[in-house]
Amino acid sequence: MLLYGDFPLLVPEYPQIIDFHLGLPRPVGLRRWFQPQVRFDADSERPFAPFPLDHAFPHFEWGLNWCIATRANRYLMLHSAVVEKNGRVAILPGRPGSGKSTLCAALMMDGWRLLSDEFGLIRPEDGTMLALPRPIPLKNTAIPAFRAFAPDAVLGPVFPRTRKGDVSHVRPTRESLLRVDEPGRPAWIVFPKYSASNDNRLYPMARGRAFLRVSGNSFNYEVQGAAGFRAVGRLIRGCESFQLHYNHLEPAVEIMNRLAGDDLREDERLVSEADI
Amino acid sequence: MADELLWTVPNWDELLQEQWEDETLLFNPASGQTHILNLVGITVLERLASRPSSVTDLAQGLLTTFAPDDRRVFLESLWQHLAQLDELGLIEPYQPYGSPT
Repeated sequence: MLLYGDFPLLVPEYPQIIDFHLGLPRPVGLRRWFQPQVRFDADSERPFAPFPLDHAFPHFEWGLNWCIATRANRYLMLHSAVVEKNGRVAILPGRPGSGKSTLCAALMMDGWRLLSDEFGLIRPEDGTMLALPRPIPLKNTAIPAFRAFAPDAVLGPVFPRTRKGDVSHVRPTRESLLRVDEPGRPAWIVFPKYSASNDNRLYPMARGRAFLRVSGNSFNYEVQGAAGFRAVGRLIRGCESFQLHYNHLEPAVEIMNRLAGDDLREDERLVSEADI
Repeated sequence: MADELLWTVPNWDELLQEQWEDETLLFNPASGQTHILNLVGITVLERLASRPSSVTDLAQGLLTTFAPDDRRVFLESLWQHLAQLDELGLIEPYQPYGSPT
């Protein structure tokens, strides 16, 4: 309830389409009493080996990701966080460890609308992005860093020593949930790169390079074939692309706010010769 | 002396393109692969698509168009381009309809 308390529930009597039927049953046998486990069932599939009962919530969240990543091929799926401000969407693609979830959570607490911390779902018919706000998982040192940035944020319990280290989830803002049915129009693609040096800066990226980075970041670009190429092409044509180097959340959020406010410096907009 | 081999682009009309600055992104539905080409690379494809050509004819046309400072280096680079394009299935030897194989 702490993390999903604000989510709307479906009314069983109303006509509706259910995409997934999920279960978290406990296997029978000795495991029920000795080092108890739980299993993730999705429709008729059991995609993962059972896992410790006290890690049920993070595994449930990863299971939801698996459902979307394996089934939502109607959309071009980017592995990215997606946030919106002033009616314009910033896509933050990134590999694990790039800091995209932490930055996404920080932007959300600074007033950006959360569309997703994990999936950039692009509709092929019009290029808009679906909202899929869910609790944002933070890992290891990102947990205290985010707490220091947003002391008022609601975080769930810390799950120690999961397969991804210590994990805690941030509750989505109410505004993000109220606007879940509103798609967003992409305006910026920002590749976050956590940097150990004190380099907090936005670097513009040439469109050809951005195309390759975005297509390589997609879960299903190759599955989509020509439709994927067209979708990425339209996305790149309609967006400015950047790489964001950061090592602290405050300056990173400040840079993103300047981007949303059309207040970038000249050197943050110029693509260098070396970048083309 | 045997006739020089002609080269062509087998499925030019099916290739999808996006062009920015001096780079072209090319999607080949036959392979499902996406390629990034510089100006010389896309010019090679455009010329071979418009008319099957020998490497000699192609090189002469490109030398005129690009007027490189170092012709030898340019031609070496052209050979590398052609080998890569052949390997990727973007160009192939031209076989006119009905010609013996």
